[in-house]
Amino acid sequence: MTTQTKAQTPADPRDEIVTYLPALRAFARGLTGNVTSADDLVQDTVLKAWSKFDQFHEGTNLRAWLFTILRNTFLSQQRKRAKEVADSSGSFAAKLASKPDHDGRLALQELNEALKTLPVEQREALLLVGALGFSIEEAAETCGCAPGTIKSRANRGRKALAEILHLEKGEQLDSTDSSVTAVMAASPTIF
Amino acid sequence: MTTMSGTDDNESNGIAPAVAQQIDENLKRLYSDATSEDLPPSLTELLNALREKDAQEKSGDK
Repeated sequence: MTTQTKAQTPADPRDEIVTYLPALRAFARGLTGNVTSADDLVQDTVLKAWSKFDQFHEGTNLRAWLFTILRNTFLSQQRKRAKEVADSSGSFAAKLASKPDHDGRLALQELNEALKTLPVEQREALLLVGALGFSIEEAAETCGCAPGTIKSRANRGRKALAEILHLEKGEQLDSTDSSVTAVMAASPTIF
Repeated sequence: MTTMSGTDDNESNGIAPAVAQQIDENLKRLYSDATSEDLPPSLTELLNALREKDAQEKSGDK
């Protein structure tokens, strides 16, 4: 069936964790909306992954396994915080909706802020599939749901973003022209 | 049996495919910095500490 080159197989999958850290950080930023919280979340993820590596089945998808740990850690932190913090996402959305802008960096900033207003299940679907290039199947494995569920969550998320950012009314989320590239280069970090 | 879900595809008709594509492209752009940044020292130090701890435990077992 499959031919595996055993000589090239890493001795320990733990050594591969570092490969996925940049994408894990990006996913964590998208979920938390905050660089510091994101790095804390990635640290917690690494610690958890390390402590339960005996539960990881070699030859299965390490990336999806790590992303699942990060996601579950985030969701459990969020459940704890939900008891303490009132939700302010509604006012966020209203503020964004009243302020369309053509500047590219602002457009990306608005996209980032708009993303934060989405329900977490739509946000994670968009982050995995849209931002990080996961296949629908791998995103489904990561989130523990059916591929069709990921697909519809991503679609609902895109639709919500389009509404918040006025994209359906002919506005361009224009961050691809040269002026925007220049702005992005000068100020690379949105977070 | 079809593997492509017509129902799910219909749901994306809520917005124009070009708009959906535009959103995905900008999401990629938004997170491209995060995926290409150097790792913070705290993370690499954590990994090194975990590896060292494992190595010490292994050598202690022997």
